[in-house]
Amino acid sequence: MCRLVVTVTLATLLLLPRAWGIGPELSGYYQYQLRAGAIDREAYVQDYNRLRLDISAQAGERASFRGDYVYQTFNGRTALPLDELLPPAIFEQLPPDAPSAYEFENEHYLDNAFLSFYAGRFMIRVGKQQLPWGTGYAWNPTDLFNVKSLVEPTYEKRGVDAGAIEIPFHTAGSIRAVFAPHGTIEQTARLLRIGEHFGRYDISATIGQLHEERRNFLTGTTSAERRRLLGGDFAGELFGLGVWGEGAYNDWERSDDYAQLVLGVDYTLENGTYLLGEYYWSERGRLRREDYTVQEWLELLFGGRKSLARNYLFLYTSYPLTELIDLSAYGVGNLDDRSLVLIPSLSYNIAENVDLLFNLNLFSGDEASEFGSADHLGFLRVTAYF
Amino acid sequence: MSHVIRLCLLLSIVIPVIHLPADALADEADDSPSARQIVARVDSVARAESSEGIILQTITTTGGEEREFRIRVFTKDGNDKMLFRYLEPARVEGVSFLMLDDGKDIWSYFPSTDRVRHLASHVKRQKMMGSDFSYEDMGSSSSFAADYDATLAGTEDCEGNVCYHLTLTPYDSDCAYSRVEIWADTSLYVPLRVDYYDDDGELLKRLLVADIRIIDAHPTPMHYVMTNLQDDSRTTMRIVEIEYDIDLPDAQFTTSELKKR
Repeated sequence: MCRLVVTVTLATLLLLPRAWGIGPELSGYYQYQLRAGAIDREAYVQDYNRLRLDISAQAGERASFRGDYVYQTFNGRTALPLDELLPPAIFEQLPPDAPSAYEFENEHYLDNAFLSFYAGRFMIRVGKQQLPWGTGYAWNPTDLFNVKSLVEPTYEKRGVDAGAIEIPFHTAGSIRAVFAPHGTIEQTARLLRIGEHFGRYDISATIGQLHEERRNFLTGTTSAERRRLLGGDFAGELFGLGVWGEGAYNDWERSDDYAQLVLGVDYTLENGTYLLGEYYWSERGRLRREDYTVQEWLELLFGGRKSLARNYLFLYTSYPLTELIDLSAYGVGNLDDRSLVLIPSLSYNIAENVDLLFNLNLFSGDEASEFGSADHLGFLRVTAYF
Repeated sequence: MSHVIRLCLLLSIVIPVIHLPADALADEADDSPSARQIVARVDSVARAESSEGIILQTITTTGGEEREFRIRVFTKDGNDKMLFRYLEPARVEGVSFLMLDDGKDIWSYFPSTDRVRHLASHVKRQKMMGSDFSYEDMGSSSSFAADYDATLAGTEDCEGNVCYHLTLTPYDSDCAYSRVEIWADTSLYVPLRVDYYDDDGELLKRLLVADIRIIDAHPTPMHYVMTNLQDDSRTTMRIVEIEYDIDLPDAQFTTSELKKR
C-alpha cells in the first residue's frame, strides 16, 4: 500500500506538469544525519536518510506548480524512553496509558503541493504550502500554523493545506489572507495580515482564528478548541542595530487567554561576526519549575508547545572562518528555571552542492528544569542538493 | 549620505548604462573636464533606466577552491531598485535579495523557510553570499559625486587604455572606504580599475573591468574581477545576458516578488 501511494504521488507530480506541456523541473536534496547520545550512561546512535524531491513547472505566464515529496527513514535507536526525557517527578505522574517513549518513525509525505496564480499584482496560492508568519527568529507568536524547533529554528517547516491570497502594494506593503479548511466552515482557520513599510520599518497587524486540536495526555482524549489571535510585528533599524518585535494576544474558547511577546536585535561586526539576541515572554509560561505539569511536558515533547516557562533568552552568533566554513553557536536560556541549551556548530560547504553540518546540544540545569533533564547530543549532517 | 563605495555603481554591474552617446562623451572629454565633471560622467555611465540580465559569478576562496553562482538581476530607475535572484547552484536556488533606495533597504528571501527578512544596514559591508562584493557594492547606485570629493591626479595608462586617474575621499567619515582610486576610460568614462582602501588606509580591494561592449547604445563592461588583497580571495563576474530599457513594472521590485521562482 505504501509503495502504491508513493508511486501514485510521484507519478502525479511528474505527469501533471507534462499534461500542461511544460516539462517539470526536478530538484531537491538527499540528507543523511547521524545522531549520537547516551541513555542510562550507555551511548547510542541513530541515523536517518531523507530524500526530498521538488518538482516545479511553469503553467504559462500566470501560473506555476510546485510539489515537494519527502521520504525519510530512521535507523538505530529510534525509541527514546520517556524516563530519560522527563524529570523524575513528572515521569512518576504519567498516567498508565501515556506514551512510554518518543519514537522516530519512517515517513513519507507530500510536504508542499500548490498552484500559484498571478493576476497583475495579486497572487493566489492553493494547496499544501509553507505559511511563515511574523518577524521573530526563534519564536513567532503570530504564527498559528507552525511550532518552530528551538534548537534549529531555520529548518524547513511542513506545509499546511490552505488557500492564500496576497495583494502587495507599494514596495513592502501587502494584504495577505489565508484560509485553511478544517471540518466545518466555522472550524476553518482564517488569518489576515496587513503590512506596510514606513520609513525604515516594516510594520504589520494580524488577526486570525482557528480551531486547534488539543490532546489531553491525562485522559487520552483529543478535542478542538477555538483560538482567536490578535497580533502585530515590526522589523527595522535603530541606532544601526537591526531590531524586530512580534506580539500576540490569544483568546481561547475554554482555556485561559494569554499574551506573548518577542523582541529581537542583531548586529554584524566589521570582521563578519554576526550577533543576534531575542527575548521571549509568554503569559502562559510558568515562573517556577515546580509548577510545570505533566500535560505541559508532554505537549513540549510531542508538539503543541515549544516552551514551559515565562521568560527566555535566545542568543546566536556566527563567524565566517573562511568563505566556505562558518562557526556558530546558539544558546537558549530559560530565565525562570535557569536552565539552558548551548548548541555550537560548524558548517562547511564541502563541494558546490554539498553542505556538512556538525553540532552539539549541550544541556545545563537541574533535573527538574526544562533543559537540565535532557542528555547531551551530537549531530553530523550532510546534505547534497541536486 | 550613506557610506558607499558605489561600487556596483561603476560596476554598473548588470546594470550599466549610459545616458549619453559614447561619441558625445568622447568629444567632451577633449575639453579637459574637471574632476567633478568626470565623476559625474562616471556616475551617469553606471545608471540605466532599467535592465534585466544574468551574471555568472565565480568565487575563488583563500584556499583556492571555486564556487560558481548564476544570478538573474533586474534593475530600475538608475539602479535605485534592484532584485537579485540566485538560479544556480541548486543549494541556493531561489535565494533572492531586494535592494531599494540606493541599497538602504534590503530584504532577503530564503526558500527553505519561505521567509522574507528585512536586513538592517549593518549587513551592507558584509560579503554578499560569500563573494568579494559586499551588499553595499552590489546595491548602491552610482553617486560617487554625492558621496566623495574628487581630485584629478592626471591621465595614465590603465590596462592599455588612456584613463583619468581620480582620487576620491568621502565626505562622510562613516563611509565604508577611507579612499577610492578610480581609473576611468577617457572616452567612455567607464571605470576600468578601482582601488578601495580600508579605514587604516591600507589597500583592501581592487576591481578590474574588461571586455566593454556597446549594447543597446550602452557601454557595458562584460567582465569584472574583484580581488580582496588582504584575504587573498577573488570574485569574478561575467555578464552572460543583458537587455536594457525594458518595461519593468514597479511590482517587480516588491517583497512579494522575492518569492516568485
